[in-house]
Amino acid sequence: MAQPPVSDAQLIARSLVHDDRHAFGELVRRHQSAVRATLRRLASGNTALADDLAQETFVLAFRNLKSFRQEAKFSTWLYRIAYNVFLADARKTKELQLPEDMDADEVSPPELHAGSEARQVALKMDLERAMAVLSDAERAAIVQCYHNDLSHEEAAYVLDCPVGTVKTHILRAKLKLKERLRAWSPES
Amino acid sequence: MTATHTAAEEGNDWLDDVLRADAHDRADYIGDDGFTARVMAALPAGRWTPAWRKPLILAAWACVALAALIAVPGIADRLLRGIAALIFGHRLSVTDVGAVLAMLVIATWSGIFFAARTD
Repeated sequence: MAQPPVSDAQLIARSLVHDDRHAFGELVRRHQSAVRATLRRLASGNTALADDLAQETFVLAFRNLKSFRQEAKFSTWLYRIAYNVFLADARKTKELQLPEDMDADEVSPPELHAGSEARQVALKMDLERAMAVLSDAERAAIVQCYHNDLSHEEAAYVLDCPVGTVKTHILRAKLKLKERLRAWSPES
Repeated sequence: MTATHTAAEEGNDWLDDVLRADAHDRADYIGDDGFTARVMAALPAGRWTPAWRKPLILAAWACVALAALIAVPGIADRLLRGIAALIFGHRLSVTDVGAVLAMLVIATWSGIFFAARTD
């Protein structure tokens, strides 16, 4: 008979009460993909940096596991740590970040790409470039709400800001993205 | 914190479609490729102690105490006499009181050391 899957809460309890390192390893295995994907988006595709930050995220989660109060899902708590780790790193390397306003010519006109597949690839590349010009907070709001499929309330918990601020970040981010990607708009 | 619907479901313009499609395309599972092992190797060593550690440390301290009793002639006898004198209210010599106090200090510091090591 198959064993029922062990919940995150049970694994956390085993980690804390029985000092079970394997239980924490299972938590890492379960959530590594989502955390690494989130950080890759936040780091604008820099996978090496994202994986370093993801490792730091899990080490911090391990150290602070006692403070996890189950007021949010464990994955949401991890996103929150990941975002804080990303912000701390971004502050250290601020001078290396892309300028706020990149050259608009970098967006490729859709009519250049014959065939729907070529258009999709070109759109992805343009979206990637456009995401890079967003502020850290705007990009994080988009990543949490669209990529991690969180509600505004959950995103506010992750980003440690009011719900209204999350909505403002998303609104501003979408305005910037629309401006950058206006060539892809159906009206153009 | 339960979400009835996600933020991404609220928008319905062409950019929302682009963002949702991009998120969907990127939703593929990222293979572990040794990531979990690297995390586990990077964890601080001190927080977790194996389940057998506490009884082992207790046994080790018991051995030390037994060795001390055997190694120092008369210490067990003096200790027992001191305790008996305390309990039954007999007159105590300064040496007896000193021996009892020394043992209490050793026991206290052993307890503190043990608690500090296992926390």
